[in-house]
Amino acid sequence: MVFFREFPCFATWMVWVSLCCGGVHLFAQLGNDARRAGMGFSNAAHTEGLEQVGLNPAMLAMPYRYNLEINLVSGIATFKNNAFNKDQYDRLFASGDSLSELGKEEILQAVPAGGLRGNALAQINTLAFYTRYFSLSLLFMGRGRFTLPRDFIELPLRGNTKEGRIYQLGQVDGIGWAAAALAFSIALPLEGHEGALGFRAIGITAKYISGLRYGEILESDGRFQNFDATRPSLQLDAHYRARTAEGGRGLGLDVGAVLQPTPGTQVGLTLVNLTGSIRWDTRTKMHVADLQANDFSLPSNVSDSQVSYDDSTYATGHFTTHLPAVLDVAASWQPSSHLLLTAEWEQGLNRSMGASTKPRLAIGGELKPLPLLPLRAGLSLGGAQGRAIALGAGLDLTFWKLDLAYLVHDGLLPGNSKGFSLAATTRFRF
Amino acid sequence: MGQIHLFIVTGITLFLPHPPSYWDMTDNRSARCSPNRPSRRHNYRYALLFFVLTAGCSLNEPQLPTWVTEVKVPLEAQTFVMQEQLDSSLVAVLGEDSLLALDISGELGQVQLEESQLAFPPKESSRTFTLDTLRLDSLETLQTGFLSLRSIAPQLSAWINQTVQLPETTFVVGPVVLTSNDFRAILVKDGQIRLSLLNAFPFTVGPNTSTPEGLQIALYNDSTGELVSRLSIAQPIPPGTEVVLTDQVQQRWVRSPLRVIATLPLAQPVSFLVTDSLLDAAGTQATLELQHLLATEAVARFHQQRFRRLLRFSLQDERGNRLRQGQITRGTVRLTFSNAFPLSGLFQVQLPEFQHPDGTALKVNLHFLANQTTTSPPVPTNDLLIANPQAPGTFLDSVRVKIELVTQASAGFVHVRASDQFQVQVHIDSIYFHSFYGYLAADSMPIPTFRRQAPVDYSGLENGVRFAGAELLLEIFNEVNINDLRVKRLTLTGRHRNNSGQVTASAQIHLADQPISPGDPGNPVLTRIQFPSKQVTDFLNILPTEIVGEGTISYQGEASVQVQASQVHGTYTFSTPVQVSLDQENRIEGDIEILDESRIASDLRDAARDDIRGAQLALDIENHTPFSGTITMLVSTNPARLQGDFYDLTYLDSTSEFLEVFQIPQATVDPATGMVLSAVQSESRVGLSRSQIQLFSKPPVYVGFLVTIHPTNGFVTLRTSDFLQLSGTAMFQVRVSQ
Repeated sequence: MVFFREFPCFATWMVWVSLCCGGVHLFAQLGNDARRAGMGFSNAAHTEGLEQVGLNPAMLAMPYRYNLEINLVSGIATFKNNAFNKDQYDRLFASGDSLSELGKEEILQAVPAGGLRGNALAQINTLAFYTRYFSLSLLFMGRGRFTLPRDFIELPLRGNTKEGRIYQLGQVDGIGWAAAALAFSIALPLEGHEGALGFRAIGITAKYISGLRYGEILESDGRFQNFDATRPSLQLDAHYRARTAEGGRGLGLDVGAVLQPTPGTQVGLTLVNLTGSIRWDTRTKMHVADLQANDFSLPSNVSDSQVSYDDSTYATGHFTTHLPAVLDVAASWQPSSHLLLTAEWEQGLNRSMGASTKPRLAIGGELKPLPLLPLRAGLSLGGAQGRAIALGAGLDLTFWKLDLAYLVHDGLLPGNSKGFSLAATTRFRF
Repeated sequence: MGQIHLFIVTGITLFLPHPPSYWDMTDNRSARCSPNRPSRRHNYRYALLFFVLTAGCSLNEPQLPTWVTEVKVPLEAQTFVMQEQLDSSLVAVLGEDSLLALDISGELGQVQLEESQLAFPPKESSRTFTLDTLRLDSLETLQTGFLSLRSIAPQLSAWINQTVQLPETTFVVGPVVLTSNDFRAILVKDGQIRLSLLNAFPFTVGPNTSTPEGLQIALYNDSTGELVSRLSIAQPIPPGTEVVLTDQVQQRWVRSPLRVIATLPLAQPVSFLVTDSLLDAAGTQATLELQHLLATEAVARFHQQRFRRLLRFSLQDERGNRLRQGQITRGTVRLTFSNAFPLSGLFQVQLPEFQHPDGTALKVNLHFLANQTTTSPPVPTNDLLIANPQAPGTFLDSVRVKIELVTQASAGFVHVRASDQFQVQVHIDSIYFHSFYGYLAADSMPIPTFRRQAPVDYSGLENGVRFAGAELLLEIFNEVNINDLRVKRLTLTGRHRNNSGQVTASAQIHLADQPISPGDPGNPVLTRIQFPSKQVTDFLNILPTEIVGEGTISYQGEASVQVQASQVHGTYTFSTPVQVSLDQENRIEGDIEILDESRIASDLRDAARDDIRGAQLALDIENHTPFSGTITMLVSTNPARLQGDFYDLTYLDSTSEFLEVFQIPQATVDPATGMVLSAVQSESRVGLSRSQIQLFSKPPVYVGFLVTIHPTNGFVTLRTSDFLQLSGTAMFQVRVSQ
């Protein structure tokens, strides 16, 4: 019965690596500020103080009414999948109840043909300082995503009831990584030197990155062929290869520029990770798993000798991952001191480290009916997170502020969304 | 815990001026607001709005759900071909219809001539010989020495330097005594005395008036005065002439010393000048030789004597076997020589019929001592050929022993008589042969008791089986070349034993007096003996599980055999087309599988107890045999079943055991031939409840299969193409949980 014993083990191992070997997670959108999240990640052209961390360093040169800002904590977390909304999650995966046939069908109906995909990201900015033209931040960030083929879920739920069917168990994909970064940004105002394009300032961010964890599925393939009249036996063949690391070092470089075409209007151009990579060199390992069970049938062909399961891990040399490069173009318009409208277009330039090259377009706004309580909203489309509706609010007590934001993904209300993001930021300013 | 409360709630409650009193925190799964509570302060509208939006922020801890899924496993198609189900050593295929034939065969015991059947018994022959004649060929020559004229006629000394005239006169010389160093007495059986005499006188010796006989010499045994011989010559013997006188002596003693007296007559008157020198130089001398003596008795110094004798002894066998030629495997010859005469020497024996591979005869030499008995050590005759060297291929009824005695010269005088005896005793042990060419008298060889090596397995058929017909074929391979060879008697006994080893039926077949064609070693000649008989069919109908045989093979006549290579071996084969009629129901009880903890892994036991909620077996049965019946699967955890009849289905404890029965309908059968015309297909579905499955969580579990074959409607015929095929699927309802 090794077949029945090893297959769940193999499947569990693949899922575990997909979800967890990256350990912590990383952001998809640029920046981790709660104000930005509340505006649907659309305000790259209108950031204040430390809000530019991870975005356009040129914004450090733009006017800000505080000369010093100290970040207490700023963080964002996102969980998203493409199949289940929160109601389904609560009913099906958090209640501990047994699944009925309806429940199983609901799960299978929810999973798209392309498979179950999930994303998770988190970024925490702990210690950060801002003075005019400069900022220094210590960031912890992580990111993970996985894809499980639909058959991978259907097979254990429905069983192998369809004779002759081939279940595709390969195409499992996943990557996750975590890192800490020390980012130093500097901006240079270009007053009098705007040039033909009218740049108000340019900036640059240099990052020293300490990789903490890395995991990536490099290769996966698998198929389970159910028996039929012509071939009265079960066939399983699955192969999986992933690499992991527990540490690395790297450098990154962001550049940005800001324009102010008209008063109240700003346009920001940012090239995040213009260059940069992480060299993973600590406890780098390759994980290989193979499972084969051929001609499996009762009563005689059920011996362990017919099942070949190899799970091996071996050390490898270092490897390098390039940082995800992103081109960001943003614009903001502030018709009054109570209203700010923003828009942003983000284009990933490579797929390194789980990044997406799917463009993201976002719009947002900030309304300050009371200066004490700014209200924010935004809409983000595309990118790795898909459609997201953002709401945010803040508490601005001059020397201290607190911003909160909440985003729902692929839904209008929290209950029917397929993911959410939460962000909070609190800082002192002087 | 169940959920993750996000820190934003805490943040709001901390920094709002007055904590809201309407937070309902009693629900431990999520913090939800109570929307019906009125707000007290205007500022809280914003907080309320925010919280409503973030109400979904609570994230319950995931719990992997449990569910029941179906695992479907194919049952590999299992085809039970009749030909393969029967003991493969029992099955043969006949004719175009590929009829299955029961073919029970076995080896006859190997028969071969025993060494003892060809061996000749020990032979002993003893004979006493006399010496008969003694030969004394080289006795010492006896010399008289020179006898001068002065000593013969001393009166002539008075006539020195005078011429003396002698008238016819006769001189008597002697007696002269001659003593031999070679003998003291010889009783001459036949021999010759030879005397040479020289006339050195100055006158002619010969007959004269007074002695007309001429020269005469008389020999006497000095001790007895007995005349041995008288020799004479009537012719004149001129001076300077030597004459030889001979005499044949028979049956007369010659003793030493011998006395010689010679009579020398002057043939005529003579005158001669007498001088001293003449008297000394003139004279005579004689030499006496005893030649070619054959003696009857002698006291002598014997030189080498050689005696030859011939001895024969019979090779005839009491049983009547007669040998023409044989190669001896093993045997010995021992010789005893009893010597009754006072000479030592060499005793040589030659047996011309015992030949070494190089063609030389067997020889035995033995040194013997005077008056003693000497026995030789056993002389092996291994690998010798025994045959008549003079007329090869003729019967050899006796064996010659050529004896030769060669004595050594005696050291002193010994007394030997011709009547002295010696005895020769020849002992030949039993002669065992590699090969035997000759005539074998009537005898027999036992066929050792033979038993079919493997028990015959009828795949569980026990009761009421009748075969349509059967025959027995003996194939005998003979490598024994004997004119008249035949199976004198052969008895085959068949017994049917049931599973507990008890004999439930037996039958016998007797064969007698079946000739076997002669063959040669390495070139066996096959003799087929076939018996289609009711006796054979009855024999098979008891379904013999063991077959035992014994008997004898007789022989007589001219034979050319080799002991180890000449053998008779063969096979017996009972064969019958598998056309059987089952008169009763047959139960074939399968082996009981004991599934203990080592065979039901712990995770499988756990699954049987907790996770496997049900199982269904869909069995497709295709029967292409002329039989019908049922297959009963019995599963039990009751160890008491093992103590009795496991397949006793009259009781069943549903808490610890269950059974499932699968029906096997009969294929369409041609009533004329009994052959299957077409297969019949059926489907059996059985389901196992959870309690039945849970039995597998309590090993040991005993699983057995009982096949029941229903009686047939007359004779049915089995072919190689007949089969029973089982296929289908097994479906399990399995609960999946963490």
